Amino acid sequence: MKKLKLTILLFLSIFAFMGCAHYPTNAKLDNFDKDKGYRFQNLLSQENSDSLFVILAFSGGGTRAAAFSYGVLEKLRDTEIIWEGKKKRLLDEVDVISSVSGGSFTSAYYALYRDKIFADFESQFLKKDIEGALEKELFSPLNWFRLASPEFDRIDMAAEFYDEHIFNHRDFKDLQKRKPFILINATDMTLGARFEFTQDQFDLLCSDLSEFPISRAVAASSAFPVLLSPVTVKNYAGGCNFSEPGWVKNAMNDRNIATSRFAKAMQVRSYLDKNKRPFIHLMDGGIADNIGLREPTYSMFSTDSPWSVLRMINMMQVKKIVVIVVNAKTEPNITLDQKESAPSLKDTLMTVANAPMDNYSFETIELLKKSVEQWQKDEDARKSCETEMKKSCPQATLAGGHLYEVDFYPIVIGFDAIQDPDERSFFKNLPTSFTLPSDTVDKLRNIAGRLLEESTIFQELKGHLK
Amino acid sequence: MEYVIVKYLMSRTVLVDGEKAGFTNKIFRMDEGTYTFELYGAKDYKPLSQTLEIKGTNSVSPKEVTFEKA
Repeated sequence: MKKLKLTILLFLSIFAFMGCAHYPTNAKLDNFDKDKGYRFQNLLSQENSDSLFVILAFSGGGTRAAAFSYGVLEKLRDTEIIWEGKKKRLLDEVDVISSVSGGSFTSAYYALYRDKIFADFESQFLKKDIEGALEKELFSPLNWFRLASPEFDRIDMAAEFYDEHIFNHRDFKDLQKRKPFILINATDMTLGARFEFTQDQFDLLCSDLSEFPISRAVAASSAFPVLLSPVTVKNYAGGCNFSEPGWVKNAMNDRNIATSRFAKAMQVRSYLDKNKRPFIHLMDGGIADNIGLREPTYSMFSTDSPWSVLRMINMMQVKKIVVIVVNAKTEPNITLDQKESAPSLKDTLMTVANAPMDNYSFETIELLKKSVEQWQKDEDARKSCETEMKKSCPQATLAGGHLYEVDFYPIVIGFDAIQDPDERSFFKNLPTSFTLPSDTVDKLRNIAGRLLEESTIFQELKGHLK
Repeated sequence: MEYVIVKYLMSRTVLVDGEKAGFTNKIFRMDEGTYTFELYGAKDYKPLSQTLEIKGTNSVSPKEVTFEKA
């Protein structure tokens, strides 16, 4: 009887302990210092020139997106270029990778391990049944009690799994101190806006990103609504001598003249009052931007971004900008329209989650293309004006001299570009999950390389880098 | 895209909202909005800063911001 009581007591103790499970809290930042932490300007360039600025944007889409973006890395590894007299791989010129959800597994793994990704990413992630393993964890009685804690949810369990089995307990301080700069994008649930795992973002919370597990950032980036719970980070704002970026104060005057700039400034300031927002809840980056292209676009066309490419252009540091958008978007589910009965709750939820993401992704790509077109038109307009002026007055020059010119190479690869209808249909009907058959992963890798090779802009770029 | 020329008697780096963002006497690009312009380095110019609304410019008619030797 005594033994039974002891056993019950022991079990109760274990359950009580597990019921107190808590997600790993992000660390407080003692002193704000722009020269420290994971920021673009703190990374070394080494062999990577600024003059050829390459940005990759990896979309969401589970293992499908991860494999598709991995195929692009393989293709860039195999693409030899000559830039400023040096022979190198195009991959070694990548400056920034901005990623969302499934694409964040690839970008984070590459940021940690660089070329080792080509040796073991397939076995560590792409060809693993991650979804099955997560289900096992979820149905393990040990985790039931931990999940009973209000401070430990399904996403925390998933992050633990990624930490143990994919990212080997690495934190942001373990990322290599050289380019490319990795932007792992999540969505701030309250603002519905992008939240990126960079020290610039964590400064707003007076939190130290260097101690933050890579796995939790990736988990937040891929916390698909409803299926996974959001990741929570603590806001310590106000205690680290943080001074807000200079543009924010000015942008607060821009309500009527530059609405989006004003809105961005409001978002920045929303983090600075820890009493109003003591906790920030982060979910799938796809909600705010499912192709990871918003921040790169902002950086190319605004001087406000912490890693503004526009400022670098104005400082005449950049000559060519290559943007490769890797979009693993699939087809809308048309089978719904073949039945009279109302779609299931699951189908409805998937539509609610996916349709706005897809529409917004389309708009984002259009915004990039239109901005590049306008940029080129502006250059042409100034050149025409100079030419006309010189006809009547050959010695005259426009005030401000020549407009510094930059070559843009916006490349978008997606399954829509596949010519063969059956092949296109195969890829466009792949599920969004964290498990895919091994041969499907290989097909995704191969099609990514092929689509990039078939891109006329990519061919043009290669021609200019010989 | 908006266009600006910051005029000064010699070539200096221009600070926009505290960040290096161009050179004096060279046209450069910005997004629309309100910005504070300064020159990087010695404070031997006047006015020391100018906060201006940048909107409605184009590559042929940029906004001109002028600083003088103090």
